[in-house]
Amino acid sequence: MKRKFNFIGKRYLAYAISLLLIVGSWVYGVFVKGPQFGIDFTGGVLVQVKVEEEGITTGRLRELFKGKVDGVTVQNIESENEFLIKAPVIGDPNKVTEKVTHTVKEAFGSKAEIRRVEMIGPTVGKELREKGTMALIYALIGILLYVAWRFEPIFAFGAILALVHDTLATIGIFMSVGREFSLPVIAALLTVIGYSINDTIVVYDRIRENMKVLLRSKPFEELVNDSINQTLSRTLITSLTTFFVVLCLYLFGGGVINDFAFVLLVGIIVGTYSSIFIASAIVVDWYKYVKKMK
Amino acid sequence: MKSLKLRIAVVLIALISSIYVVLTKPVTLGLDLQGGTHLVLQVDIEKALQDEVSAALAEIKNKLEEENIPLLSAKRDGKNIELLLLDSENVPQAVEMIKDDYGEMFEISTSENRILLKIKPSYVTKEVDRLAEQALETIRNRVDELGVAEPVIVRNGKDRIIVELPGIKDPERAKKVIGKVAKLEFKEVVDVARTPDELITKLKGTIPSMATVAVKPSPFGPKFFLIKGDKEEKIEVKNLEELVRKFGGEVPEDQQLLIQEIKNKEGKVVGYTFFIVKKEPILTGAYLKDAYPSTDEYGMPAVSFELNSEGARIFKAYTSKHVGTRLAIVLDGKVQSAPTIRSAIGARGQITGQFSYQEARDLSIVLRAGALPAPVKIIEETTVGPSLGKESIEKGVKAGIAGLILVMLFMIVYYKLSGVIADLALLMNVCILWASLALLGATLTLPGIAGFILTIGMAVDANVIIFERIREELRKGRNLFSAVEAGFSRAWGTIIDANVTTLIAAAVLFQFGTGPIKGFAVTLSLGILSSMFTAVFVTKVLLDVIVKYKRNIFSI
Repeated sequence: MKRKFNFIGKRYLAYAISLLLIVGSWVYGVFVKGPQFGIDFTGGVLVQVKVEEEGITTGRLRELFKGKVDGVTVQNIESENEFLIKAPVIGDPNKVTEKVTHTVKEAFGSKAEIRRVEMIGPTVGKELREKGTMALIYALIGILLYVAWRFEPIFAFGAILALVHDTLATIGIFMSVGREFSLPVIAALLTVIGYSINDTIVVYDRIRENMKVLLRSKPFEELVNDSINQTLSRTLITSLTTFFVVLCLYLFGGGVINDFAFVLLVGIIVGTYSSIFIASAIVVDWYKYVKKMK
Repeated sequence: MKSLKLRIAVVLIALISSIYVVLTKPVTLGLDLQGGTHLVLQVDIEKALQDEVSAALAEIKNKLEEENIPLLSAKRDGKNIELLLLDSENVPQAVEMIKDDYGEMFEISTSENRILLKIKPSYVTKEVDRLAEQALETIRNRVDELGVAEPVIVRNGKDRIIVELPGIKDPERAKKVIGKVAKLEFKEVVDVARTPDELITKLKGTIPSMATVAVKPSPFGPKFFLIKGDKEEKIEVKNLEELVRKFGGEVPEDQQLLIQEIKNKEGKVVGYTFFIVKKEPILTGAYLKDAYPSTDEYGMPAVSFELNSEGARIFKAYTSKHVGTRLAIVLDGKVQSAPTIRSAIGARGQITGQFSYQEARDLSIVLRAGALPAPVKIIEETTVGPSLGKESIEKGVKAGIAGLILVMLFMIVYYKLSGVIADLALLMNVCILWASLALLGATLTLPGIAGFILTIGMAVDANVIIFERIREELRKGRNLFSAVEAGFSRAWGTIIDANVTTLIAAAVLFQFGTGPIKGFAVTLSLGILSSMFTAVFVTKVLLDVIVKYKRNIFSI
């Protein structure tokens, strides 16, 4: 046996760190930064435009829309002369889209290239927001049922708590850096859930296996800790390879996919951490609690 | 599958056939990668139903007149109709008559000389379906006429239609052609006004003294200003009726106000003419047989149309009685032209307006394809330019290759020869995944590429689980052969459990996701399945070969 770390022994410290991370990032994200919602969820118009002109700035573009379209935000992305123009939908969304593209074309003519137009009506935005939230909840329930069926309910409880932990922490960090929620972000969160449960299951599998042979000879705490240690190298290696590819996606994947990759990046780190420090630790505490009750 | 030779054969067949598919069958690219427009349209059923009730009301009024049943008043209130007859004795006869034509549509109730028509819920349900189907058909015809290659036009839910136009050059034009209701109406002109002031006075409104109402054109409709000396105040109104009412004017119940745009040579709106017209149309586009672009007497672009026989009959009857009056040709609520009737007109007519050739062509397309049964609203749009799509692919491929190389290097460094085997399995996985995307006809989207790349990172997971297990068993002092066997058999359950949970997440994604997200879920699921094959089965075969023939080079 190689060196052993006492992960379970440090579990209260881990709980504290997690709680601090989640509460801290949510408070900071919600109250200081304010959560940002993309047009997927609020409805609105997004126009990505590339302008081939010297010294073009966000300020100049903003000036352009003054008095023409209300509530426009302009953001510089990727290269120097590429911009995201966003406008809320007031009245007919198609007119807002038309107004924005019209204004750009009028000012720059053929020097401007409209690269992407997205318009989402306000009712659709609301629907997507609800659907996205429901998807997260359904995924959690589905996984809960599967784990409860394949393992024991106490494992399912730990797994779900770890997943909720990962989701909350990832969302918190995402908000804190001021990024914007969109459908791909929800998709990334679901992937993180899938990934993190994958990590957790491997540890649980080993705990279950060890329980069959060792439960009588060892205290449960120690057994779980051994299981985590036995699977530790696998957890770290897989996290590492996945982290590599997501990092490549984040660095080279381009602007459209950047938020998506960011969520995965954070989610993998948080998911790996939770499957080592949280998921099994909760099972230990739950197990102890149940025993005491008996 | 005990025999190693047989298993080697399976691996080779899988490899060769997937390479064959990759080389021969292209994967369909999503709109976000090849460029194009994705639209979600909502059919305004409520409006269509109200229009239907309006049409029914007009028809019922006509019939009652024909039967000499005097009518005190007839009103539409949303989707209900209230008729007041002069004589309550006529009620049974009228009810009988209405029942014959509209028994399916309305619930009829009476009290004294009042007849109430309430639309039936069963009729509404049936109508919603019919309207959506018809709108779908109309839009399909229009897109066909636009000549877009491989468009996707499908119904989505009760009243939504998804339109996908790959590789389209002029999305603005396509949107106009698809979204245009193309509701053509011919209406009797009551009066014409050149300025808002004139319109307001004609409808008995008064403008404050020393002031005038000015109109400024914009591409999005007229804007009105009250001008007093050199003070200018914007008047916020939704429509002309509201403007008139603001100044105390009144529009008679059976009339409505419409504008005609006056355009300059560049097609820019420079002013408006205001029309007071009768609300009920004389004729609608439903009686149209054909429409085609043509030129008017001055050689300007116009649209010629031909009416069907019934339309021609109604048109002839009307025009012969109304020589010398003006007739407004109204398209989607805007007056296109308002010619004076010089003599009775039959089946043929012409719409002149100030069209460009392109507009005349597009207008004949939409008229020919038929009017939409109800207005459609574009409630969602995504248009991606071709250059952005290409850039996305390039970036995705770059990220994928970089990730692949990193993972492969890592596996070799960490697991040595076994790492090489895992890498071979990984490459085969990439190949199989790509081939299955092509075979299933799945569409590759940008998130799909991300899913693909993510799979690369996660695919080696099964190998890692197995290899770690083999190492453990070797440390326990087992011999190589039994360590490999134990590693695989013990790891199998774990791999299944771990992957099924990821599949659950992917299934949820697929269920709720739209377009690109669905693509992501598909690639992710396929990736998991194919990686289970390559990382477990293929790796096992390769390891067995080494264990059997070249034991001395084994390393993990």
